[in-house]
Amino acid sequence: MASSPMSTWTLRLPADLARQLMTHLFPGDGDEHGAVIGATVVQTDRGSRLLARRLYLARDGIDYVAGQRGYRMLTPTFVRDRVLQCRNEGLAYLAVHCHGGTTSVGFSPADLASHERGYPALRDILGDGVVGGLVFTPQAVAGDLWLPGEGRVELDHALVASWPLHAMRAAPLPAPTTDLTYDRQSRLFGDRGQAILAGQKVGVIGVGGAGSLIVEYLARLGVGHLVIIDPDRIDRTNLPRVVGSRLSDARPWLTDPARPELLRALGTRLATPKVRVSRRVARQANPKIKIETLQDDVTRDDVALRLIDCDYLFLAADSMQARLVFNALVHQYLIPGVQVGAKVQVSRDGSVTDIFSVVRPVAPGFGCLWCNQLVNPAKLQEEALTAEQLRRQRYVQDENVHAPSVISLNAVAVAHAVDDYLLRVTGLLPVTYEPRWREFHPAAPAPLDRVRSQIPRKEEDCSECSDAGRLGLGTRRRLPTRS
Amino acid sequence: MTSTVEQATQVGAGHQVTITVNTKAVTVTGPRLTGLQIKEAAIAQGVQIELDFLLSEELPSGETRIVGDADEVTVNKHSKFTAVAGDDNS
Repeated sequence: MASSPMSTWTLRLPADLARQLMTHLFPGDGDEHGAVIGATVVQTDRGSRLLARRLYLARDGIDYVAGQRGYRMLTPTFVRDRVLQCRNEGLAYLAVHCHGGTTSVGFSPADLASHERGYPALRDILGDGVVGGLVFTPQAVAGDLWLPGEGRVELDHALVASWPLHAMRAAPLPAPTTDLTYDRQSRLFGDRGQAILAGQKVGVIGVGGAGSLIVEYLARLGVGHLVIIDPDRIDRTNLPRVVGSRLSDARPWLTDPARPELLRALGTRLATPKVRVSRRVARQANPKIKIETLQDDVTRDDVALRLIDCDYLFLAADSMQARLVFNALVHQYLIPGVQVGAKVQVSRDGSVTDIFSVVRPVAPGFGCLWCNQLVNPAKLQEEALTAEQLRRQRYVQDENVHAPSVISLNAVAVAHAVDDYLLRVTGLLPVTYEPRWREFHPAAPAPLDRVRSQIPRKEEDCSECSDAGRLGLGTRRRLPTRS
Repeated sequence: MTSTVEQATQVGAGHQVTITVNTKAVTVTGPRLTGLQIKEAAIAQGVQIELDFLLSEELPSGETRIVGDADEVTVNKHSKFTAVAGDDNS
């Protein structure tokens, strides 16, 4: 692994793992406790990420005992067994203990001396891996990371991928400067909240009816960096839904049905890409925004990998393959996200049987789309076929019939999804917040049926979201993409 | 109302019970059925859903809980389910 000592190092913890760790470290006795985290290392353009995959709790008095030079220590056999497990799985080895205090923490001289004495040997055992120490209080963490070779860096922060999205540091950051542009909204979450938004990198997969709204909301909120992905171009039927699209984007003088087929085909090829429309909207909302546009499909490997250093992902694309890739990104790279959609269900006789919008937050270990049968294997197989193969196999009865779609239905889902994101990252959610999926059925006769709060399923041994599957594997497993 | 959802083992024949799926009455052979069996019974009795719809059970709390095709639930005359298309668009 090539690591730059100058790189920023961060740690990401799935919520369940973090909960187990913090319960173990802080049982209320005020004493020190220990553990080891095995973490996948991922190098990205924005720094190096440690993705916590394994947690080994040290039993008090057995694995974590009175120290020979300091107050407490992990026993040599516990350390040996854990470092060998980390080596066998290709994970970084991170020794953990706790200190008193709340919002700031640091290593004691005895802690640092033990690192200098013991970590070179552990680094040799790991071979090409990272060895480190972490010290926690209930609200802070400091890290001393020993990289392959001679590099040694401090952990910048740890992030618990939960509700709220909780970033822990060695000490609170200094107060940021005020930007009057955001005066009205920062009265809700403060200058610190606004600074968090400015530092975020968010991926938006699909910028059609729902995704274009997401991009506008995020840009106006002051999110600093967006990656937007969509292979499609604007056509006339997008104008009622795609924010920022203009009739000229659809090249109506060429695509008019009265034109010869050759001209219409040319017009379709020359129409403005949806990602370019979204970029236009985002820049109007926030001239300082950094925006990456990919007129491409997220199911391609090189495209999906552009999202691995994002802080949050929005899925607003229709295909099952996009759902599969998004779901894998969330769990494999510990990036929380949300799937949004809307549906007008029409029966075979043409009557509308249901109208709904959905918001499905997905976080490492929560709300897996695979566990909840929202990635349909039969449809995945269909999508893998070419249009010609589909026609031959008669999977599509009439490919020119599009599903009904209405901007306000998209807006309901998007507003709730962006609200969730905003409240999560700026720390406005209570720690007791219970995440749910939500369905909105505006035409339901009974008032209580119009908003439904839904508890998603979880398969304990799921290949996608469990620690027996993709959870925290990072680049050590290929995403379910096409090359 | 039902208690916990379990992975299906063997669903034995029992008594007839009328539940609701998308507010429509559906008669099933209870007390234990899988999510797939509930959808099959609903479709057979004219409820406009399809087998790949996402089935949820209404809980006493007012929330709903997703029921997988292989999940087994215990039903009674107060059991209410909803089923919506899983391929929502954006």
